[in-house]
Amino acid sequence: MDILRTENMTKRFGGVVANDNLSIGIPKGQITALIGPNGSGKTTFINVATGVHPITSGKVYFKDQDISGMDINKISRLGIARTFQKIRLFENLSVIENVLVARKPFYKSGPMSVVLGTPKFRKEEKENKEKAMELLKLVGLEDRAYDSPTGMAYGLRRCLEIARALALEPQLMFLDEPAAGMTRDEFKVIMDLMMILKERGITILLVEHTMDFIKAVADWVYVLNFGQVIAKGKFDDIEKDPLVLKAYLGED
Amino acid sequence: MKKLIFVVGAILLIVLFPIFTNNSYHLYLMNRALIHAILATGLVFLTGFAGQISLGQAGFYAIGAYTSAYFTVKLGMPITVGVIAGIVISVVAGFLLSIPSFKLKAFFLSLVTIAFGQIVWMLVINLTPITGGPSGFFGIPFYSVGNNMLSFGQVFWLFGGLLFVSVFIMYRIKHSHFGRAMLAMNDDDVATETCGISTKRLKMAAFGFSAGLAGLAGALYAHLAGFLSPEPFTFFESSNFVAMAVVGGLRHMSGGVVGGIGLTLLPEFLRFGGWENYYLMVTSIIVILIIIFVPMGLGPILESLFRKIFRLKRSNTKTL
Repeated sequence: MDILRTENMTKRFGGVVANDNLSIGIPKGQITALIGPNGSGKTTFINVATGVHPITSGKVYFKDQDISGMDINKISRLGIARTFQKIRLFENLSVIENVLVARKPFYKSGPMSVVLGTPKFRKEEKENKEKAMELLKLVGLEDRAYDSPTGMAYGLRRCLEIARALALEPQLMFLDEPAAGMTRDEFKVIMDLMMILKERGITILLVEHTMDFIKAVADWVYVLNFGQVIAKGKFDDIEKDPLVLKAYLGED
Repeated sequence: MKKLIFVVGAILLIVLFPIFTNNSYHLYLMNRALIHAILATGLVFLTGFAGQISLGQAGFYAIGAYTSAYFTVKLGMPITVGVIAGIVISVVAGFLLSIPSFKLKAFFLSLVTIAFGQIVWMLVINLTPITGGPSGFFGIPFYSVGNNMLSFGQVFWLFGGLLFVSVFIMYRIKHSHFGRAMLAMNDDDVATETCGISTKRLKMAAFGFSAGLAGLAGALYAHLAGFLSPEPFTFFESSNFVAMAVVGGLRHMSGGVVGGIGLTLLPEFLRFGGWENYYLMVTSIIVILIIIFVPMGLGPILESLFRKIFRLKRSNTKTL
């Protein structure tokens, strides 16, 4: 069953067609990879599906609910989390606060109970801090909880962004080039993390350029070129597809 | 123990201020300073925490002042009702002004807020049946309990209490999921939205809160002065309020208090001792120097000074 599917999803930026009539299904509980040469519309796909860019035409369904045209925050609250190609953290907040921001939808206390400091609010705050700490432990950042994320190593910043996305308790996660610019060790950490998430039942859509990475984790691969799907299937089959080879390597 | 004595002593000194002076002009000035502190605290919340700009705060100040004056004088309501009405109408205006901020940022948003301030100012001048226009609004009742008028000293405690409550509310909100979301929005709108947070609602709340404090300040001013004319509600005052928040420290809890009181009293200090002709110019120069050399504002500096004197440690669980 597909947790998210698009029907003739099209995104135009002026004259440029970034996504051209895409009809894609993301199978539930699996790791799907979206690959393709630069400018083939991978990041645009994520941006449109999460509501960051308004859709030009077509539909996006999440668990059979039409989410095209919904506000970003509503889509996020339905259980779709994401990371960004260029890491976007809240630099003025500490590491744990970055994670806590994404816990806000779970708070039930209104402004009144906050100002009065009611026991209910304190309990909520304590529970969510514990939850955030758990996530930091998962990504190996528990020692840095009260540091500023500014100036942290690139791999750690990426892990923090993933922890923040996980704080939403998502069913589906979009990861936009999580392994880009990582060292070999950091790469391994992210890979292990993804397998843990898969075990927890979180569906993942991955945009990546590193083929080793995709080969190791992806159950299913879509190949995009000029905004269209040119191939789909298991990685081993895709690898030999003449259209894919042509898109990546050019014509003989 | 030594710490405690110092802290309690400092608080007592402030609280007892009205007892040490009988000069009613000094007390009146201190009351004006507290009003500005309340207003600037709202701006610190709006700009420093939520990352939105308002160069039209004098508009809310006017709405609060004239609403309370109208309710008490024309409708014969008690001052409390007038002040609450002033706050409520200001908050509604704040909600409305937040709508352009959904799409606009920085320069463009500041232009819209300037326009808002100008619209209110034009209404103050031309809506004569309600505001009295350029000739003014007279006979606004002074603070009283029963039949006893409060002294300026007692008003000082009243305003001080309201300022304390304002800062306390802001402190509690800041150290909650709401405050974190606002600081996050200040850093990155889109990333905040992807955390499942509606930035529209946050912006509405931030504009509403700062407008509410400006409305409160305006209403308090109306009953303190007893008379309203259009002068204190010009664009010049709006920019003066922003200067208070910046000088005090936009990102600091005490920014509004330090800036509001500091910039109200500074020109008055300069008025004495032969500076009469230049005090406004010197005030402006001092503001420029503070912004250049202490961009964080005076609040953080006073805090670290305070920590040094009382040897307090910074808790590591809260940023800022």
